Amino acid sequence: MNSKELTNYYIDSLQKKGMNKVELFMSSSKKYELNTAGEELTLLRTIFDTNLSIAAVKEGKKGVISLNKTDDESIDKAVESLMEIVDNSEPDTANDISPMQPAGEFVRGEAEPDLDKMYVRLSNFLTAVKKRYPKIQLMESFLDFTQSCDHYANSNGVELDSTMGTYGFQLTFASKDGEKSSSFNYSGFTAKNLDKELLECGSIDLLLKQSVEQLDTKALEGKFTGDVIITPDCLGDMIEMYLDVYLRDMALIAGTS
Amino acid sequence: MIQRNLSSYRDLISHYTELRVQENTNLQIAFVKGNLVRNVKNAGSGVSARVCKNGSWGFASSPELNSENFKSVIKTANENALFLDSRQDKGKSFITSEAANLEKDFSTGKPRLGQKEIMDFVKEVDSYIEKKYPELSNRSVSLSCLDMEKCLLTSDGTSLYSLLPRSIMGISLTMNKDGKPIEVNDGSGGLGQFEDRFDSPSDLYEKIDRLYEHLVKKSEGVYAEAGLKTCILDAKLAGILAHEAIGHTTEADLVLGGSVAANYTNKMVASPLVTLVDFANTALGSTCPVPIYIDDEGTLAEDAVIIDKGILRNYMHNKDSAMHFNVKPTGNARAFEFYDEPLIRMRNTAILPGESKLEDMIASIEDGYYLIQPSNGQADTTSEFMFGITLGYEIKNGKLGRAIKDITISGVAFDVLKTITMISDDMNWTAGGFCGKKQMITVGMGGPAIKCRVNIGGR
Repeated sequence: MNSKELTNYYIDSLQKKGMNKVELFMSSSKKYELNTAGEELTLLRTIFDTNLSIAAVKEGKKGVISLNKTDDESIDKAVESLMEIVDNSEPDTANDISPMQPAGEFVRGEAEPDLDKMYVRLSNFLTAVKKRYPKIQLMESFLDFTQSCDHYANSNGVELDSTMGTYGFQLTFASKDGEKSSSFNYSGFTAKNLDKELLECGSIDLLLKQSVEQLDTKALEGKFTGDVIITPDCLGDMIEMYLDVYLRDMALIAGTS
Repeated sequence: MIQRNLSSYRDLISHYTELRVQENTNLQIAFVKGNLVRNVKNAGSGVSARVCKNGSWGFASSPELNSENFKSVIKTANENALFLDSRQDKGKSFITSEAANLEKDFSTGKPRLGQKEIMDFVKEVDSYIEKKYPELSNRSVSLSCLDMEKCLLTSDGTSLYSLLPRSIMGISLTMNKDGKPIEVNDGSGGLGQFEDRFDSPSDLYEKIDRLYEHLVKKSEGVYAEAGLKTCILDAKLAGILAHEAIGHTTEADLVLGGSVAANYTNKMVASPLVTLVDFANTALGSTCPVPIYIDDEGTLAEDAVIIDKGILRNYMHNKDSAMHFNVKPTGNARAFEFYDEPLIRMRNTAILPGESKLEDMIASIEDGYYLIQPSNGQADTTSEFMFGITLGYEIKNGKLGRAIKDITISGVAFDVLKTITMISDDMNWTAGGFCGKKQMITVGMGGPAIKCRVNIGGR
């Protein structure tokens, strides 16, 4: 069965078993990842995976199960387990699935990686950093291409498909000069293609430059109250933390937000 | 369940190869203020192969567990190693290790409980809190049961089957004081499946009651005074310090990446009272929270003595870094999911107990703090650290005083270790710990209580 046939089959099957609301999310992905350690390319990793997540609601009681198999036997076993989870859950009128909306199909990026180009870009990056910032110590970095095919369907008739191919790059680094060492830092980006050299992407070059400058730092004495400038890289992390701690469901339900 | 023996695939292996089949299953239930907000079961299994060719590595994984796929994964891993080797030609030969064969199964021998019994258990704990402490503005009770089942075969001839389960129950209590939430939390559990860790809900009531007492005291608490203070860091804090602020700096990949520990080998980095060990599987006669007997490279796991009586002696290694430093690997290479490659990870990291009694340590301080519960924290490769503290007390004239509100502590860990003047004679492991690097992994953290000087971020 393809993913549409599979999800429709199990939505139908779970409804026949008494579930009022059902949603399935199926994702199959392939990832090709080049890794470095220090100044060397060390590892090429190829990962294939599948994820099937099924949520069901019966008389307000909700359960979720997920597995990485799509054969009938595994899914049938998971469905049995899901029904036990749902039956022993707690009713809550807030348990719901998304309402009907028009079907959508979204496609973006390439279908296959250009491994040779990935190798060249990453090799060039190692060479460029060594030349431009000799005091930088690259701890690790990885350049990957991930293609993910996602299908969402639910018992309200929603059907959404997404196929995305993306390149991603992450690195962790510090600076060292004799016994002096900076703090470690990290950066990265995602992109549709590798048209640019890695060092010219995102704020990587800027952060590497600043890391070297941070070999010499001054301790702040006492306390400070006043204006500070928060850079884009810091602001992103702060906003993410603010959302996570104050605006997600746990904090709102708990009343601690 | 996965197969327990991969020896039938031995003929597929030619170069240095690690063939691993792994399944992680996870059950999570969480109640917040009586609302069931999480009721999830996850299972993920697959096969992976990692191959080394002249110092270049190739890795491949797949979720399908059949013979054809095993062959395909090994083939792809070989192709990936060749892709790099043909472009780099490092010409590095690789150390082979002694073959070892082991089966370690920590699954329960008791009949397995169903979803209903487990849900009823969690509900009963939640109900106890609700009925006994109705004035709380929030309570949360969560259960997480993770089973990691692995089967490994290496070209060196090592074979391993292991099932390492972990069951953790987290309790969090909140009350409002002057319009602000005051919160305390704690965890119970550790190594073992649910049936082996949790017998009756009433077993947890005493701990919940103690937690509530702390909450009341904290609600009447004061702000700590900022500055460098003499403090007792209780076991959980000593554990997180050992793991975050010292342990990470001594992982060989971070040493090679510029960590400050690279300059400190065989130098005095701590008080002579301090011996800090990354235990493999057994500490002081008892099984550790995350017992590793053979790591995911097939290395027989041994303890790594990082600091011995104040002197930095060893790093933690995988086979690659051990070869670089010309030492023996101690079994620190671990992977979390089947699709993860082994990285250098800590296992069970702790400072060894000393000879002092906690009450004597408290009595020795005129003006300081007893710090008990960390929230989270972060540390740098410079060994600078900052941890949140969610439970602590003043120490005044050798006695515990008022509770303190949430604070942070910070410092340079190697400097803090040098100020240690007393270490308690007991050992306590945290119920559950996770470490993030490129991938998450379960870790054990713990220790005795330590008396030291540390920066308090108070008011």
